[in-house]
Amino acid sequence: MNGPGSRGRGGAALLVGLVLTLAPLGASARAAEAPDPALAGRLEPGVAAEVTRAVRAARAAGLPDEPLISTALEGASRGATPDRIVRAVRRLAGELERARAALGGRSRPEEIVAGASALRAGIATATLGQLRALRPAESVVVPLVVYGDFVVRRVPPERAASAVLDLTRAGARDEDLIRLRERVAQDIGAGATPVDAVALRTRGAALELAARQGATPASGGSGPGAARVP
Amino acid sequence: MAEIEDRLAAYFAAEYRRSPAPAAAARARLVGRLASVPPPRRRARAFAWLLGPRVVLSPLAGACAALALVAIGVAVSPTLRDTLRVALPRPASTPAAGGTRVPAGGAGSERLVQFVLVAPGASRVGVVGDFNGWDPLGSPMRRIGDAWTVAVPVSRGRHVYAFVVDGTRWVSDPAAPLAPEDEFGFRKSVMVVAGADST
Repeated sequence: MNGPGSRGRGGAALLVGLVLTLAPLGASARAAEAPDPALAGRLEPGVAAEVTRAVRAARAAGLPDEPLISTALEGASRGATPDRIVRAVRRLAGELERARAALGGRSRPEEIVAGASALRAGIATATLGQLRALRPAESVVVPLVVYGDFVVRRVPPERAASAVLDLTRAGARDEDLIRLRERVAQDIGAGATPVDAVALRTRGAALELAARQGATPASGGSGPGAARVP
Repeated sequence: MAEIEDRLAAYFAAEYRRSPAPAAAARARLVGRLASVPPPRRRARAFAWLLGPRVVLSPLAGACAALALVAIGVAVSPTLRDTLRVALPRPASTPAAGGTRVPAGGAGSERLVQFVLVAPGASRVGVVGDFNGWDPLGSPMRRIGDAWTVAVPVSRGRHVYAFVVDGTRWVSDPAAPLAPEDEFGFRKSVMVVAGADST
Protein backbone atom coordinates (compact mmCIF):
# COMPACT_ATOMS: atom_id res chain seq x y z
CA MET A 1 0.00 0.00 0.00
CA ASN A 2 2.67 2.54 1.02
CA GLY A 3 4.95 2.51 -1.96
CA PRO A 4 7.58 5.08 -2.91
CA GLY A 5 4.94 7.08 -4.85
CA SER A 6 2.68 7.51 -1.86
CA ARG A 7 5.68 8.55 0.29
CA GLY A 8 6.50 11.26 -2.28
CA ARG A 9 2.95 12.52 -2.26
CA GLY A 10 3.01 12.61 1.54
CA GLY A 11 6.22 14.67 1.53
CA ALA A 12 4.77 17.16 -0.92
CA ALA A 13 1.65 17.50 1.18
CA LEU A 14 3.79 18.09 4.26
CA LEU A 15 5.75 20.77 2.44
CA VAL A 16 2.60 22.54 1.26
CA GLY A 17 1.19 22.42 4.76
CA LEU A 18 4.39 23.87 6.17
CA VAL A 19 4.36 26.70 3.65
CA LEU A 20 0.71 27.45 4.35
CA THR A 21 1.42 27.49 8.08
CA LEU A 22 4.49 29.69 7.93
CA ALA A 23 3.32 32.10 5.24
CA PRO A 24 0.96 34.08 7.52
CA LEU A 25 3.71 34.28 10.12
CA GLY A 26 6.03 35.79 7.54
CA ALA A 27 3.35 38.20 6.43
CA SER A 28 2.68 39.32 9.97
CA ALA A 29 6.41 39.75 10.54
CA ARG A 30 6.59 41.92 7.45
CA ALA A 31 3.56 43.90 8.67
CA ALA A 32 5.28 44.39 12.01
CA GLU A 33 8.31 45.81 10.23
CA ALA A 34 6.25 48.02 7.93
CA PRO A 35 6.27 51.68 8.92
CA ASP A 36 3.20 53.20 10.46
CA PRO A 37 0.84 54.32 7.65
CA ALA A 38 0.81 57.87 9.01
CA LEU A 39 4.57 58.09 8.55
CA ALA A 40 4.90 56.50 5.13
CA GLY A 41 5.65 59.07 2.49
CA ARG A 42 6.53 61.77 5.00
CA LEU A 43 9.77 60.31 6.39
CA GLU A 44 12.76 58.51 4.95
CA PRO A 45 12.28 54.74 5.20
CA GLY A 46 14.99 54.33 7.84
CA VAL A 47 13.60 57.11 10.01
CA ALA A 48 10.06 55.83 9.55
CA ALA A 49 11.17 52.39 10.71
CA GLU A 50 12.88 53.81 13.81
CA VAL A 51 9.89 55.93 14.70
CA THR A 52 7.53 53.03 14.08
CA ARG A 53 9.50 50.90 16.52
CA ALA A 54 9.20 53.62 19.18
CA VAL A 55 5.49 54.02 18.44
CA ARG A 56 4.84 50.28 18.78
CA ALA A 57 6.85 50.08 21.97
CA ALA A 58 4.83 52.96 23.44
CA ARG A 59 1.61 51.32 22.37
CA ALA A 60 2.65 48.03 23.93
CA ALA A 61 3.47 49.84 27.17
CA GLY A 62 0.05 51.47 27.19
CA LEU A 63 1.42 54.95 26.53
CA PRO A 64 -0.16 57.40 24.09
CA ASP A 65 1.53 56.91 20.74
CA GLU A 66 -0.04 59.72 18.72
CA PRO A 67 2.31 62.39 20.15
CA LEU A 68 5.27 60.35 18.90
CA ILE A 69 3.88 60.23 15.37
CA SER A 70 3.02 63.92 15.59
CA THR A 71 6.55 64.79 16.70
CA ALA A 72 8.03 62.88 13.79
CA LEU A 73 5.70 64.59 11.31
CA GLU A 74 6.46 67.97 12.82
CA GLY A 75 10.17 67.29 12.40
CA ALA A 76 9.60 66.31 8.79
CA SER A 77 7.64 69.51 8.13
CA ARG A 78 10.39 71.57 9.70
CA GLY A 79 13.04 69.82 7.62
CA ALA A 80 14.82 68.37 10.65
CA THR A 81 17.58 65.84 10.13
CA PRO A 82 16.73 62.15 10.56
CA ASP A 83 18.88 61.92 13.71
CA ARG A 84 17.07 64.82 15.26
CA ILE A 85 13.66 63.39 14.49
CA VAL A 86 14.52 60.02 16.01
CA ARG A 87 16.09 61.70 19.04
CA ALA A 88 13.00 63.87 19.55
CA VAL A 89 10.69 60.87 19.36
CA ARG A 90 12.76 58.81 21.80
CA ARG A 91 13.05 61.68 24.24
CA LEU A 92 9.30 62.25 24.18
CA ALA A 93 8.68 58.54 24.73
CA GLY A 94 10.82 58.70 27.86
CA GLU A 95 9.00 61.81 29.09
CA LEU A 96 5.62 60.17 28.53
CA GLU A 97 6.73 57.22 30.61
CA ARG A 98 7.93 59.43 33.46
CA ALA A 99 4.77 61.52 33.33
CA ARG A 100 2.56 58.48 33.55
CA ALA A 101 4.56 57.13 36.46
CA ALA A 102 4.15 60.44 38.29
CA LEU A 103 0.49 61.02 37.44
CA GLY A 104 -0.66 57.45 37.84
CA GLY A 105 -1.56 54.72 35.42
CA ARG A 106 -5.21 55.73 35.26
CA SER A 107 -4.43 59.16 33.85
CA ARG A 108 -5.91 60.11 30.51
CA PRO A 109 -3.65 60.25 27.46
CA GLU A 110 -3.89 64.05 27.20
CA GLU A 111 -2.88 64.35 30.86
CA ILE A 112 0.17 62.21 30.25
CA VAL A 113 1.10 64.33 27.23
CA ALA A 114 0.62 67.55 29.22
CA GLY A 115 2.69 66.02 32.03
CA ALA A 116 5.49 65.17 29.61
CA SER A 117 5.49 68.76 28.37
CA ALA A 118 5.58 70.06 31.95
CA LEU A 119 8.50 67.75 32.73
CA ARG A 120 10.38 69.26 29.83
CA ALA A 121 9.60 72.71 31.22
CA GLY A 122 11.15 71.71 34.50
CA ILE A 123 8.36 70.53 36.78
CA ALA A 124 9.36 68.01 39.42
CA THR A 125 7.79 64.58 39.24
CA ALA A 126 6.73 65.08 42.87
CA THR A 127 4.79 68.18 41.82
CA LEU A 128 2.98 66.16 39.18
CA GLY A 129 2.01 63.71 41.89
CA GLN A 130 0.80 66.54 44.15
CA LEU A 131 -1.32 67.97 41.37
CA ARG A 132 -2.86 64.56 40.73
CA ALA A 133 -3.64 64.22 44.41
CA LEU A 134 -5.34 67.62 44.38
CA ARG A 135 -7.39 66.68 41.34
CA PRO A 136 -7.91 62.95 41.58
CA ALA A 137 -10.84 62.83 39.18
CA GLU A 138 -10.63 66.17 37.43
CA SER A 139 -8.32 66.78 34.48
CA VAL A 140 -4.89 68.24 35.25
CA VAL A 141 -4.29 69.32 31.65
CA VAL A 142 -5.05 73.03 32.11
CA PRO A 143 -2.96 73.45 35.29
CA LEU A 144 -0.04 71.82 33.48
CA VAL A 145 -0.51 73.98 30.39
CA VAL A 146 -0.55 77.10 32.58
CA TYR A 147 2.56 75.91 34.40
CA GLY A 148 4.40 75.36 31.12
CA ASP A 149 3.39 78.77 29.82
CA PHE A 150 4.66 80.48 32.99
CA VAL A 151 8.04 78.80 32.66
CA VAL A 152 8.31 79.75 28.99
CA ARG A 153 7.63 83.34 30.08
CA ARG A 154 10.61 83.08 32.42
CA VAL A 155 8.81 82.49 35.66
CA PRO A 156 11.14 80.27 37.72
CA PRO A 157 9.80 76.68 37.65
CA GLU A 158 9.37 76.47 41.43
CA ARG A 159 7.37 79.73 41.48
CA ALA A 160 5.23 78.58 38.60
CA ALA A 161 4.58 75.24 40.31
CA SER A 162 3.76 76.95 43.58
CA ALA A 163 1.26 79.30 41.94
CA VAL A 164 -0.57 76.49 40.14
CA LEU A 165 -0.56 74.17 43.15
CA ASP A 166 -1.70 76.84 45.61
CA LEU A 167 -4.60 77.94 43.47
CA THR A 168 -5.60 74.38 42.68
CA ARG A 169 -5.53 73.60 46.38
CA ALA A 170 -7.75 76.63 46.93
CA GLY A 171 -10.28 75.18 44.54
CA ALA A 172 -9.39 77.06 41.37
CA ARG A 173 -11.20 75.78 38.31
CA ASP A 174 -9.77 75.62 34.80
CA GLU A 175 -11.34 78.98 33.94
CA ASP A 176 -9.61 80.61 36.94
CA LEU A 177 -6.25 79.28 35.85
CA ILE A 178 -6.82 80.34 32.25
CA ARG A 179 -7.67 83.84 33.43
CA LEU A 180 -4.59 83.89 35.63
CA ARG A 181 -2.41 82.95 32.66
CA GLU A 182 -3.89 85.70 30.52
CA ARG A 183 -3.34 88.33 33.18
CA VAL A 184 0.21 87.23 33.87
CA ALA A 185 1.01 87.28 30.15
CA GLN A 186 -0.50 90.76 29.86
CA ASP A 187 1.48 92.05 32.82
CA ILE A 188 4.73 90.64 31.50
CA GLY A 189 3.95 92.13 28.11
CA ALA A 190 3.36 95.47 29.79
CA GLY A 191 6.79 95.34 31.42
CA ALA A 192 6.30 93.60 34.78
CA THR A 193 8.89 91.06 35.84
CA PRO A 194 7.63 87.49 35.50
CA VAL A 195 8.07 86.84 39.23
CA ASP A 196 6.12 89.96 40.21
CA ALA A 197 3.40 89.28 37.66
CA VAL A 198 2.82 85.75 38.93
CA ALA A 199 2.94 86.82 42.58
CA LEU A 200 0.52 89.68 42.09
CA ARG A 201 -1.94 87.83 39.93
CA THR A 202 -1.88 84.68 42.03
CA ARG A 203 -2.68 86.76 45.07
CA GLY A 204 -5.54 88.42 43.19
CA ALA A 205 -6.88 85.10 42.01
CA ALA A 206 -6.75 83.74 45.56
CA LEU A 207 -8.74 86.73 46.77
CA GLU A 208 -11.32 86.17 44.06
CA LEU A 209 -11.60 82.51 45.00
CA ALA A 210 -11.93 83.37 48.67
CA ALA A 211 -14.64 85.90 47.93
CA ARG A 212 -16.45 83.33 45.85
CA GLN A 213 -16.21 80.75 48.58
CA GLY A 214 -16.97 83.22 51.37
CA ALA A 215 -13.57 82.77 53.02
CA THR A 216 -10.66 85.10 53.68
CA PRO A 217 -7.21 84.31 52.31
CA ALA A 218 -4.22 84.33 54.61
CA SER A 219 -2.50 87.69 54.70
CA GLY A 220 1.16 88.64 54.57
CA GLY A 221 3.97 88.03 52.12
CA SER A 222 4.14 88.89 48.45
CA GLY A 223 5.14 85.61 46.83
CA PRO A 224 2.88 82.95 45.42
CA GLY A 225 3.02 81.21 48.78
CA ALA A 226 1.02 84.08 50.21
CA ALA A 227 -1.88 83.07 48.00
CA ARG A 228 -2.71 80.12 50.19
CA VAL A 229 -6.28 80.00 51.26
CA PRO A 230 -7.15 78.29 54.52
CA MET B 1 -80.85 117.01 3.13
CA ALA B 2 -80.18 113.34 2.69
CA GLU B 3 -82.22 113.36 -0.51
CA ILE B 4 -80.04 116.14 -1.98
CA GLU B 5 -76.86 114.22 -1.11
CA ASP B 6 -78.22 111.07 -2.76
CA ARG B 7 -79.05 112.98 -5.91
CA LEU B 8 -75.62 114.59 -6.04
CA ALA B 9 -73.92 111.20 -5.61
CA ALA B 10 -75.99 109.72 -8.41
CA TYR B 11 -75.10 112.68 -10.66
CA PHE B 12 -71.35 112.35 -10.13
CA ALA B 13 -71.50 108.60 -10.61
CA ALA B 14 -73.27 109.03 -13.91
CA GLU B 15 -70.75 111.66 -15.05
CA TYR B 16 -67.82 109.33 -14.26
CA ARG B 17 -69.43 106.50 -16.17
CA ARG B 18 -69.76 108.77 -19.20
CA SER B 19 -65.93 109.31 -19.53
CA PRO B 20 -64.94 108.68 -23.15
CA ALA B 21 -63.63 105.24 -24.09
CA PRO B 22 -59.96 105.14 -25.34
CA ALA B 23 -59.50 105.34 -29.02
CA ALA B 24 -59.01 101.94 -30.72
CA ALA B 25 -55.64 102.99 -32.21
CA ALA B 26 -54.28 104.08 -28.86
CA ARG B 27 -55.47 100.86 -27.24
CA ALA B 28 -53.71 98.78 -29.94
CA ARG B 29 -50.44 100.74 -29.42
CA LEU B 30 -50.61 100.15 -25.69
CA VAL B 31 -51.21 96.40 -26.06
CA GLY B 32 -48.36 96.16 -28.58
CA ARG B 33 -45.93 97.87 -26.19
CA LEU B 34 -46.93 95.69 -23.31
CA ALA B 35 -46.40 92.60 -25.44
CA SER B 36 -42.85 93.71 -26.27
CA VAL B 37 -41.86 94.14 -22.60
CA PRO B 38 -40.23 90.90 -21.30
CA PRO B 39 -41.77 89.43 -18.19
CA PRO B 40 -39.79 90.08 -14.97
CA ARG B 41 -37.24 87.33 -14.18
CA ARG B 42 -36.45 85.88 -10.80
CA ARG B 43 -32.76 86.63 -11.17
CA ALA B 44 -33.42 90.24 -11.99
CA ARG B 45 -35.51 90.53 -8.86
CA ALA B 46 -32.85 88.74 -6.84
CA PHE B 47 -30.15 91.16 -7.95
CA ALA B 48 -32.32 94.24 -7.84
CA TRP B 49 -30.73 95.22 -4.54
CA LEU B 50 -27.35 95.22 -6.25
CA LEU B 51 -28.36 97.12 -9.33
CA GLY B 52 -30.72 99.57 -7.72
CA PRO B 53 -29.85 102.92 -6.20
CA ARG B 54 -28.16 102.89 -2.80
CA VAL B 55 -26.25 104.98 -0.34
CA VAL B 56 -22.55 104.88 -1.21
CA LEU B 57 -20.14 105.04 1.72
CA SER B 58 -16.87 106.89 1.42
CA PRO B 59 -13.67 104.78 1.14
CA LEU B 60 -12.81 105.81 4.70
CA ALA B 61 -16.11 104.50 5.97
CA GLY B 62 -15.53 101.27 4.06
CA ALA B 63 -12.11 100.87 5.64
CA CYS B 64 -13.57 101.54 9.08
CA ALA B 65 -16.24 98.91 8.50
CA ALA B 66 -13.61 96.38 7.39
CA LEU B 67 -11.51 97.13 10.47
CA ALA B 68 -14.56 96.75 12.67
CA LEU B 69 -15.29 93.35 11.11
CA VAL B 70 -11.71 92.25 11.71
CA ALA B 71 -11.91 93.51 15.28
CA ILE B 72 -15.12 91.58 15.83
CA GLY B 73 -13.49 88.49 14.38
CA VAL B 74 -10.48 88.89 16.63
CA ALA B 75 -12.64 89.52 19.66
CA VAL B 76 -14.86 86.54 18.98
CA SER B 77 -12.11 84.23 17.88
CA PRO B 78 -11.43 81.59 20.48
CA THR B 79 -7.82 81.66 19.37
CA LEU B 80 -7.27 85.11 20.73
CA ARG B 81 -9.50 84.65 23.75
CA ASP B 82 -8.46 82.48 26.64
CA THR B 83 -7.25 79.10 25.46
CA LEU B 84 -9.07 78.82 22.25
CA ARG B 85 -11.99 76.88 23.07
CA VAL B 86 -14.73 75.41 21.33
CA ALA B 87 -16.95 77.32 19.07
CA LEU B 88 -19.44 75.15 17.30
CA PRO B 89 -19.91 71.43 17.54
CA ARG B 90 -19.30 69.76 14.23
CA PRO B 91 -19.53 66.15 13.18
CA ALA B 92 -16.37 64.14 12.73
CA SER B 93 -14.62 64.05 9.35
CA THR B 94 -16.26 67.21 8.15
CA PRO B 95 -14.13 68.98 5.57
CA ALA B 96 -12.37 71.95 7.06
CA ALA B 97 -11.83 75.22 5.27
CA GLY B 98 -9.48 74.68 2.40
CA GLY B 99 -10.86 71.27 1.65
CA THR B 100 -8.64 69.36 4.04
CA ARG B 101 -9.87 66.54 6.17
CA VAL B 102 -8.88 66.20 9.74
CA PRO B 103 -8.61 62.75 11.25
CA ALA B 104 -11.72 62.14 13.26
CA GLY B 105 -11.19 61.83 16.95
CA GLY B 106 -14.42 59.95 17.40
CA ALA B 107 -17.94 60.79 16.45
CA GLY B 108 -19.10 63.98 18.03
CA SER B 109 -15.73 64.61 19.64
CA GLU B 110 -14.66 67.40 17.29
CA ARG B 111 -15.16 71.09 17.72
CA LEU B 112 -14.72 73.82 15.16
CA VAL B 113 -11.84 76.03 16.24
CA GLN B 114 -11.21 79.32 14.53
CA PHE B 115 -7.61 80.42 14.21
CA VAL B 116 -6.74 84.06 13.63
CA LEU B 117 -3.37 85.65 13.01
CA VAL B 118 -2.76 89.31 12.24
CA ALA B 119 0.03 89.32 9.67
CA PRO B 120 -0.22 92.42 7.44
CA GLY B 121 2.84 91.72 5.29
CA ALA B 122 2.21 88.04 4.65
CA SER B 123 1.33 86.68 1.25
CA ARG B 124 0.07 83.34 2.57
CA VAL B 125 -0.48 81.85 5.98
CA GLY B 126 -1.48 78.38 7.13
CA VAL B 127 -2.00 76.69 10.45
CA VAL B 128 -0.14 73.48 11.27
CA GLY B 129 -0.60 71.26 14.26
CA ASP B 130 -1.02 67.78 15.56
CA PHE B 131 -4.59 67.90 14.24
CA ASN B 132 -3.52 68.10 10.59
CA GLY B 133 -0.28 66.15 10.60
CA TRP B 134 1.78 69.38 10.60
CA ASP B 135 1.04 69.76 6.93
CA PRO B 136 1.82 73.37 5.92
CA LEU B 137 -0.67 73.12 3.07
CA GLY B 138 -3.28 71.30 5.11
CA SER B 139 -5.21 74.27 6.51
CA PRO B 140 -4.57 77.42 4.48
CA MET B 141 -5.89 80.61 6.03
CA ARG B 142 -8.03 83.20 4.30
CA ARG B 143 -7.09 86.85 4.32
CA ILE B 144 -9.50 89.42 5.77
CA GLY B 145 -7.76 92.77 5.78
CA ASP B 146 -4.57 92.37 7.79
CA ALA B 147 -5.85 89.27 9.52
CA TRP B 148 -5.76 85.66 8.38
CA THR B 149 -8.27 83.12 9.54
CA VAL B 150 -9.43 79.56 9.15
CA ALA B 151 -11.80 77.30 11.04
CA VAL B 152 -10.62 73.75 11.59
CA PRO B 153 -12.41 70.85 13.27
CA VAL B 154 -10.27 69.63 16.13
CA SER B 155 -10.86 66.72 18.47
CA ARG B 156 -11.15 67.41 22.18
CA GLY B 157 -8.06 67.44 24.35
CA ARG B 158 -4.73 69.20 24.35
CA HIS B 159 -3.24 70.22 21.01
CA VAL B 160 -0.13 72.01 19.86
CA TYR B 161 0.06 74.16 16.76
CA ALA B 162 1.80 77.01 14.97
CA PHE B 163 1.27 79.33 12.04
CA VAL B 164 3.41 79.08 8.91
CA VAL B 165 3.86 82.45 7.23
CA ASP B 166 4.85 82.56 3.58
CA GLY B 167 5.63 78.86 3.61
CA THR B 168 8.79 79.06 5.67
CA ARG B 169 8.42 81.16 8.82
CA TRP B 170 6.91 79.38 11.82
CA VAL B 171 5.14 81.69 14.24
CA SER B 172 3.57 81.00 17.64
CA ASP B 173 0.08 82.29 18.41
CA PRO B 174 0.73 85.48 20.37
CA ALA B 175 -2.48 85.07 22.35
CA ALA B 176 -2.20 81.42 23.34
CA PRO B 177 -0.21 79.55 25.97
CA LEU B 178 3.19 78.35 24.87
CA ALA B 179 4.78 74.94 25.25
CA PRO B 180 8.43 74.63 26.23
CA GLU B 181 10.94 74.63 23.39
CA ASP B 182 10.95 71.36 21.53
CA GLU B 183 13.73 69.31 20.01
CA PHE B 184 13.42 71.34 16.82
CA GLY B 185 14.05 74.65 18.59
CA PHE B 186 10.51 76.02 18.44
CA ARG B 187 7.92 76.97 21.02
CA LYS B 188 4.57 75.74 19.88
CA SER B 189 1.26 77.20 20.96
CA VAL B 190 -1.07 75.10 23.07
CA MET B 191 -4.83 74.88 23.05
CA VAL B 192 -7.17 72.78 25.10
CA VAL B 193 -10.37 71.89 23.36
CA ALA B 194 -13.03 71.08 25.89
CA GLY B 195 -15.19 68.06 25.31
CA ALA B 196 -18.02 66.26 26.92
CA ASP B 197 -15.89 64.40 29.42
CA SER B 198 -13.08 66.87 29.90
CA THR B 199 -13.11 69.45 32.59
